[in-house]
This record gives sequence, C-alpha cells and structure tokens, in this order.
Amino acid sequence: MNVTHIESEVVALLTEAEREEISAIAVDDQVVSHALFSADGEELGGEVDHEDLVPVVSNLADLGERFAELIGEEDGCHAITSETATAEVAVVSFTAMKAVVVRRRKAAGKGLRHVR
Amino acid sequence: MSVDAVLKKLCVNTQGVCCAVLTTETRIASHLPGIYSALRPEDVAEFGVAAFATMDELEDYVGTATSTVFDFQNHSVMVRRIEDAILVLFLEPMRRAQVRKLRIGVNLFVKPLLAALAETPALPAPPPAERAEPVVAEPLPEPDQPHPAKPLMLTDMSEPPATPPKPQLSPTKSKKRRFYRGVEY
Repeated sequence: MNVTHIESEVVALLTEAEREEISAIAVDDQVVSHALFSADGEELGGEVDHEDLVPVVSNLADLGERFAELIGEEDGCHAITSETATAEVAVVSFTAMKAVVVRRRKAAGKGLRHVR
Repeated sequence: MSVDAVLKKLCVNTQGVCCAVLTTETRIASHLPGIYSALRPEDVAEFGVAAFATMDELEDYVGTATSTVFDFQNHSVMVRRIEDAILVLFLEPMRRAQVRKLRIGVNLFVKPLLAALAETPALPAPPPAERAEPVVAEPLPEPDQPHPAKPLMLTDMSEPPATPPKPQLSPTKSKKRRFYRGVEY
C-alpha cells in the first residue's frame, strides 16, 4: 500500500510508525490485499480484491473487542491473525482505525504488525 | 484418558499455555486452573465457534481457516480447529515466532485429543421438558356416597354377583382421613 494512495484526511490520522508499517506492506510482494477501515467497518482506503473482506474482518474485530471485554482486557484486541493453508489474514489496530492485510502464506509473519 | 485430562496435560507441558477449552457439537471440556476458573467455558466455546463462523465467510477467498490468534494486552487467545472440534487456548503474551513454535507443541496433543474424544461418549440428550399442565389430583370419592353401580353383563342378569358383607366401622374410624400430597385436608 502506498501511503500517497490514501486520502490525506486518513493519512493525518496515522502516526509516523503506522505510516512506516503501511509503507513496508506496500513493498511486500506477498501481500495480495489490504485496506484501512474504521471501527464501524467503513472502508477508508486500500486495494481489496474481495468485496466481503472488510465487512467480515470488521465483524471479526468486533468479536475480539467483545471477548476482550468479557475476559477483562481493558485495552481491547490489538491484533488478529488468521491462517489458512495458503494465506494469512491479519487485522491490526492502529490508533484511529484498523488495517487488514492478506498475505500469501509463504512469507507469513514478516512485518505484519508490531506497531504498539 | 479423558478429554479434560489431555487438556490439563497440554496446559502443563506446553510452555505459554495458561488454560484450554475444547468444544464439539455435543460437549464442552475445559481446563481452567487458578484465576481462569472465573471464566465460563460456555462463553469461551461460543467465542471460538463464532470466530470460525466469521472466518468461514471468507472461505472462497482465502480458504478454510485452521487457526486464528487474537492478541490482547495480557494474553493471546489461539482458536484452533481440530477436525470437528474447536480448541481455544489462552496464551501468555508472545511474539509471532513463539506462537509458531507453540503451534508445533500443540500439534503433539492433537492425536491424544482426538483419541479421547472418540473414547468419550457424547453427552446424553437433555430430559424432556416438564408437563406444561399442572397436575390435578383426582377427586376422592365421598365416603357416604356409594360407588355407582357397575353395569352388569347380560349373562349376569340371573344372578347378581355376591358381594362380601360390608364391615361395620367403629365410631372412631367413621371419619376417613384424607391426604393430598401428604397434607391432610
């Protein structure tokens, strides 16, 4: 994902570290789909090749938040990583929004998250 | 070995695993030691099922999800599918590389878990619901009122059946005590 492809209003909501992380994702050729979305599940930018991706991962993020509340994790759910035989879907909480990255399995786990 | 025992073994022998809940269509097994005993296994199982139900909506796009890890501040929660069962593990916070190693450790317990599940019969079906109508006691026959005469068969018309003489009740026993569910009335 190239940061310049995201609207400036959205970029303004990202911290420097988050912008760097998004830039790293942009040059990763294993990434097949990525998006930024709001807490309400509204897509804010990115390149998504499956229409259900953002609504579904938004539901998954909601599930994580509800479970965090249930088990007393006050800071909520930081990240979700789901693995299939061929791909890895990662949902990362940024300060003001969430990001989803779908990556081919070969390079799974490289630099998907760790902005805290 | 029971499913609970295998889950306990998994938690004790795998570094970083705090507690575990395993759910199938018919049963929920758990090992929730110490502070984790405050968790309701049903809630954890429901969460695991919901996580996979959600990810299955992307099945045609990324394939079937085998495991999902939720990272919180104090724990990570790994939800893993083992054939028809769903295993939920509470993990200590750890790096992604450690989670991968842990996944290999958990794999060692997949076979014993499946064997334990196969050995353990499914829970019996819940008992049928109670009758909706209230139970009504049958009215007792009045002591002074004779029972209605039983219609006789045609063959018995010539000779009425011999009835034994009614014993004379003593005055003290004349009033019959009546009980309904152990309470005299």
